[in-house]
Amino acid sequence: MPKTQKQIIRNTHEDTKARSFLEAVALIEQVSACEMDLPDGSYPTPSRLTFANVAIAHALQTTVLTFLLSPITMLVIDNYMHIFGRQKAGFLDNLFSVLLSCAPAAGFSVFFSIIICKLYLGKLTKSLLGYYITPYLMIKFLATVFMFMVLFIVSTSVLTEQNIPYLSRQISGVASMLNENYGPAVYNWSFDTLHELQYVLIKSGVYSTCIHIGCAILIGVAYVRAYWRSWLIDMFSGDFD
Amino acid sequence: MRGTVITVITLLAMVVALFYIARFPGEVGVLLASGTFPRILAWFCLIYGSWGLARARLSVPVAMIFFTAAGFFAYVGPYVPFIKNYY
Repeated sequence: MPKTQKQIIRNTHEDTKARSFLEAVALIEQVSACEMDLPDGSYPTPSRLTFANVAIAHALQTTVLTFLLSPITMLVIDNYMHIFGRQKAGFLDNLFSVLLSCAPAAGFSVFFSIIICKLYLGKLTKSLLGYYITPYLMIKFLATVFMFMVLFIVSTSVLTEQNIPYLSRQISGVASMLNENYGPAVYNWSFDTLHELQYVLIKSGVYSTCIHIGCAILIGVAYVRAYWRSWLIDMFSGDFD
Repeated sequence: MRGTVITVITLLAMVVALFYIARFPGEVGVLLASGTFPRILAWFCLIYGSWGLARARLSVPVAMIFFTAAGFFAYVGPYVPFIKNYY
């Protein structure tokens, strides 16, 4: 196709916000698929495509979910919590617990990596991908640091030896309002549970951070692979021009 | 072709399972009571939800429902009346 100065005319009032994660990815894929045939300037305003909102929401969801689920995984691995009704979890039960806590983040990362691997990274696709990936990674990094700090602070400053009896009394007080007989049992249960939680919170923070680093590495490897593939396509297509 | 293979395998598995249940009803009862059934359900929900997310076959809320179901069978099921008999 000859490179003319034709432009795709877009309605200026058209909503350029991607409504969901999948919509943003689909749009990037569409542009990538036809970018080799697009004349220069045919997509005049890529910066108007605002992917930041879905990228931020998506990064926050997966990060917070992993950090919330990871203490449960650590409680199971350290045999404080029952899984499938057993106190002592076997290898498969531990594996299930680990996979369940990292499934949302890992699932998204695998999906995104597969998509990126298949993209042709031309100038336009690179900029569109940048509008998505930059806020995604920034928010993921910030949310990881923030959630790690929250777990650390809760473990070292909130769940202290002085605070745990007080918190247990408060919880058992609430339970006593429902039924007076529940009070002592709930106190013992919450006292033990809060202690166990204190032991595993920092570990679960480290574990969640490792998961997100792994996800970031996966996306990074996919990006490098796509970049390399696009470079090869450019090089070989240049020979035919 | 792949769909046909999956359908045939599923049907064969169902036939084998039905034959096993009819032939050894006592052993099936022991198998169900030892926590196998909830484990199968939980693993299925986890794998299907993850696969659905990774291949964009499921939307995010539907995948989350599968993960919630997996978590339910793993952590909550043993305390729920009737379901706890299968652990």
